[in-house]
Amino acid sequence: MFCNRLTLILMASFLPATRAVCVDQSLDVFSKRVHPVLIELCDGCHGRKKSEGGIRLDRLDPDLVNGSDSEIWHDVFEQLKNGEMPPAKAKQPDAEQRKILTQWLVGALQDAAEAKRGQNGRVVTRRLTRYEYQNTMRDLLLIDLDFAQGLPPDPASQEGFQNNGSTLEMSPTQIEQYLDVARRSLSQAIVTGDRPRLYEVTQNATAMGKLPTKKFAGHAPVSPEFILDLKEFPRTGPFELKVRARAAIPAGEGVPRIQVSMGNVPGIIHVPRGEIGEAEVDTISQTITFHGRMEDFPQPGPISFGNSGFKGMIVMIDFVDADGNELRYPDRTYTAKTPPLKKQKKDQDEAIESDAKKEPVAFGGRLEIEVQSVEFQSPVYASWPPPSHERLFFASPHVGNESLYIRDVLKRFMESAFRRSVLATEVEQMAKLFGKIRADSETFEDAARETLAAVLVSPSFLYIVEQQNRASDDLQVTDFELASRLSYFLWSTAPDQQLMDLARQGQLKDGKVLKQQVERMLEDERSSEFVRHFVTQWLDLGGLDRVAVNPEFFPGFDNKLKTQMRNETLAFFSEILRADRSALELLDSDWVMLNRPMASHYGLTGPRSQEFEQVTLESDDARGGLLGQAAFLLANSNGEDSHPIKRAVWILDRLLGSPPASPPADVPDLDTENPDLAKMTLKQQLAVHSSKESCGSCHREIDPWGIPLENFDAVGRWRAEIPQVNRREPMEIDTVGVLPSGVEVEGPTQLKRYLVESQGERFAKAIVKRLMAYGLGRSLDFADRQTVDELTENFVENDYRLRALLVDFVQSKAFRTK
Amino acid sequence: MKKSWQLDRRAALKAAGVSMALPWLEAMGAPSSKRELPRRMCAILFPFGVAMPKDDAEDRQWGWFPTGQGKDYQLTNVLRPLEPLMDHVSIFHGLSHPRCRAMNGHDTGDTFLTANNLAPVSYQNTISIDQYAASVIGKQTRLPSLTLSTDGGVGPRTRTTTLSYTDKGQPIPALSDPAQIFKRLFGQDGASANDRRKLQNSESILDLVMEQSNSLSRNLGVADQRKMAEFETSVRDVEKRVERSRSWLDIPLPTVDRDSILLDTTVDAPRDYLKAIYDLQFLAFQTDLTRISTYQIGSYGPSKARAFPAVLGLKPDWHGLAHAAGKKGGPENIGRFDQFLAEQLASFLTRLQETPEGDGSLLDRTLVLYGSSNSRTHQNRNYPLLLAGGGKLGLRHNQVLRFDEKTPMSNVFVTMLQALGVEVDRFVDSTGPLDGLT
Repeated sequence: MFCNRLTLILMASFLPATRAVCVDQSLDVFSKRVHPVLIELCDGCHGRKKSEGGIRLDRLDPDLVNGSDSEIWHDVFEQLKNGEMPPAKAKQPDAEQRKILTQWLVGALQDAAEAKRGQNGRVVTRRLTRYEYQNTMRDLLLIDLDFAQGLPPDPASQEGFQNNGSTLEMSPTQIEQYLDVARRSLSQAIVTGDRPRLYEVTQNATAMGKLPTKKFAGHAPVSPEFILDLKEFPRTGPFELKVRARAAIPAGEGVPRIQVSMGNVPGIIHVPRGEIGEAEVDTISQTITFHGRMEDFPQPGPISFGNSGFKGMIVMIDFVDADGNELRYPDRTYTAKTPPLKKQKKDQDEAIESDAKKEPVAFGGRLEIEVQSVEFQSPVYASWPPPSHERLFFASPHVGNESLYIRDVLKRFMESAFRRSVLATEVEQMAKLFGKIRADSETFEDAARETLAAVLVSPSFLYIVEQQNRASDDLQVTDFELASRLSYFLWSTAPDQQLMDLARQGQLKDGKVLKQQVERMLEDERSSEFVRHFVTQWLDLGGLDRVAVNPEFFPGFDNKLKTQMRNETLAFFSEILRADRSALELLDSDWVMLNRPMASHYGLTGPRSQEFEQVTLESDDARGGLLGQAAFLLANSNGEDSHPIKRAVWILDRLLGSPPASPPADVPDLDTENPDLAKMTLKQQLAVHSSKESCGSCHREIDPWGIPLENFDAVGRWRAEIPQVNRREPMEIDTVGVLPSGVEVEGPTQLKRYLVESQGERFAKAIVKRLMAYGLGRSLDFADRQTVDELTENFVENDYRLRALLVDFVQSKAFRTK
Repeated sequence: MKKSWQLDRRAALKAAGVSMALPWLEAMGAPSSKRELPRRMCAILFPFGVAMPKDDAEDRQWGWFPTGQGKDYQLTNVLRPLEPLMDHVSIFHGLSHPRCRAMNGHDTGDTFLTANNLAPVSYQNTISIDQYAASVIGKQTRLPSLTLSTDGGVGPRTRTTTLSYTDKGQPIPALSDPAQIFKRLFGQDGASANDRRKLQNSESILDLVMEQSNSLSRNLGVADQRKMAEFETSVRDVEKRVERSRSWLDIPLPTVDRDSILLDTTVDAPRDYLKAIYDLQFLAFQTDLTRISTYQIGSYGPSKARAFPAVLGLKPDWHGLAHAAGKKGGPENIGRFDQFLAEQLASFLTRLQETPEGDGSLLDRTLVLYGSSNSRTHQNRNYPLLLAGGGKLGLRHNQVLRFDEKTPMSNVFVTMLQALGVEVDRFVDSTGPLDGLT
């Protein structure tokens, strides 16, 4: 910090000078003072004799403004600053040398940053991501459909974020999808005619069905405890499902749950179904209401399929315990008493009959759920026409005059969709389209649907547009642009009415107003979108899906637990943000957020349900912080054993902001099949790896970050030794790692302590950078460095409070300029 | 800004209606009136390479490549499923893309069909052979081409999840879900007044969107303008598709038996999934909805296909098997899986071969390229590669052809393009057609 401030002061004295003068001075300083130091300290490994990591410092172009090596110089600076170079065993720079290098690098990098901004320009106008599109459509049209279903997944940027403008692409297929979705949703949002017929079904006992009870073609059997048959149902529109249920919960048992799903496609062997939702069931009888839309669930085709049985929709209710295990009762009858169909099936039927003969156990004696009634209604509209329709076709003096009225409708809709005020010419252009379409359409509504669909494929809707007036150098974002930045940052959706009003009144730019808005937005439920997307992408929780847990090593591991793991990490971050705790608790904490399945996974007790709650840890428990969480531990394993390298790379990349370079192409993987290696502990294997010349120079810096976590197995459970599996002998665990700084740490607790005590600022900076990249929807460039440093400094001074950081960031220059 | 020629074209279409002279429509990509039999191609990639034990190794039977060469060859266990089809198959030894040899081993899925090195930093690619072919023969069908992959979408550069690239080198998003593919192929049916109106509206909507984009672009920064160009290219492309659909309106979609395909299968059931994907390509060819398809069985990135070997109880995952291919017992493990893949391919080829067309079979007029862009894992040389079909397009088969590194794989592309009737004598770094095939 001291160094940085000093150089900033020095920099200030350069400011009046022109760029050319700057460069000349910089080159002069380089050749006289910097170059000799580099030769003395670095030439042995990065010079004429050797070029480790492919880096030769003697050949780098010292002109960072016009030369092409500024990125490498940036690395040099970072490594030097983090004490990673020169390596601990080599000669270290003395204070004077360090100052010479740092000062020159900071200055030269700053020059390059200023220069770069003008050269390439930034991508600041970006397409909505899949999830932003989903939320935006929902909020705009007031209907809750699965809008993004057919859209391709968004790629992740170098920093791991999906909302990066330069990596978000557009393709013809996407355009077709957008248009298709726009039409389909508008046909739902805009209604014609009378309120449609309401379908209602109520059942007090389960229907009897013959659902597949065996695994087929990779599909799990379907064995719900309660079945509701919908012989007649609407194909589209919102439905409401009311489930009245109670539970019997013996002492010591957790709170059981119902999982509700719906679907049926006759002719397909298994029963395709979509999840409606799930809920806890308590001992007191209660009614739980679920909502959804019919068109989001797999439906029977319009033409009946051969001789298949039931041709309607099926609502299925599964019972699970608090750990997510299915509840089944052998004394219950699940299947209708159908006459034996075929001879070869006789055995099965007999088995069923013998089941049926068992005396049912009375309710109350065991963990059990009783569904007392299920009531289905669709299409459910609180009012008719529904709010989606009323919002688009509001009362205006021009109702009755199509040509004038459509202009009113369009203006209002376009302003919401484009998230700004619109010009009269823009409305005119759309109105003209309406006129053209109207000529061939039967009704006003038909033509309006098509015209509004055009708004929903307009670039002003699909992209978060930030205009740039090339006539002036004004890079300030406008009030409306600021409103969008804010709302997509914290809510992943379009600005609400209040933000739009403030923008229209020109008040949003006011620092105080901004602060109030951030606070309001964080209190709002929609801020869970920020936690979900920022944390998922920053910490790469998607990695959980890329690891397949090998059942031979972890028999009984249920893949559904991955969702709980992800939720644990989200709940943990959420709690830190909500309670405004220090972000250092992400590195280590004496509390965790657990629900019942995760607690039992960790061998802890406490939570009785699937809701996450705060649990205080015993002092010797190493579970605190992100590094004790299964989401991180499993995602960075290979599904069989821990993977210290992956874990180390994750720590360096995601928490400390210095991802190691990817391995050179010719480096082989650790060979797990090699019988000699199989006998060694992982740490010994890594030592073999590190001793290879091509690997060692990097891995000596990487591996020690992962080794102390060897106490956590692949799925994140604690272990004192590595158990025997197949040919692999049981092994002791060695968790001692010597970090690049020379500090020796043993086990997770010491590693976390080291991170909190010695790497706090580095972590702070890493978080700031990721937060900025996410909030700005672009990769940071050199010109952001000053903001990064200022935000980091304040963040540390504010005891690592995220809320203060968010306010600070939103008020920063980076957030308010393009 | 609407350009004057656009107005004219639209107006002309509307005025001419159905009485439009056919040849003119054809030039814009309309159904062909000629009855010449179709020529087709399909290209399939699997990632991570194969086992290559030495000829004297005891597990040589689990190596991908046959022993021997020319007509005097012996298939190993791996490609044995193709034995009954060998009159329609040539297997190549020693081919690769010279420009891609120095790339990272995981990057070459991107370039399997483009033969080019990726540009530094931007990883910009160039057109793939299927799209090159589609630009000529794709005009004759309802869909110019079909791009499929297990992972779907485009994926990140260097680990893309598609094999197809446009003439600008943009990756083309692949479809992965059988039900979605079915819908893309057979979903838009009929020529109701409603459909007609909808297509007409689509044209007006896209015109307007284009105008908006143009005026928006003028007020954007330089980098943003480049991104907006991507949007405009896409819109223009959809405009072309809409036009094409309009010209197809009066031609009914072929009817197919939806239930003959396992449309609801997912990648979790690899055997069913691969069958469904091959069945869909077969159907698309049989009904002449398209003549060109690509399918990436797995990407070199974090692909869903990594879990496929579990179908045979093999572990760890595909990538791990490939890494272990040189170790004791390794060849058999990956060999069994490669054999499984060959079985799926063989079923596809058999179906093509058993379906008569003209004086031969569908296979006789379909070129199926199958292989990997790694030999051993991470090695971008000596691709395991075979070409099937095309007997009536002038290709000779039932042989193992050996080449040295001077022969680029793009020579196969030239031979394929020529067999497809595309007049071309070069593709990227080719030195001519491939010796021994024609």
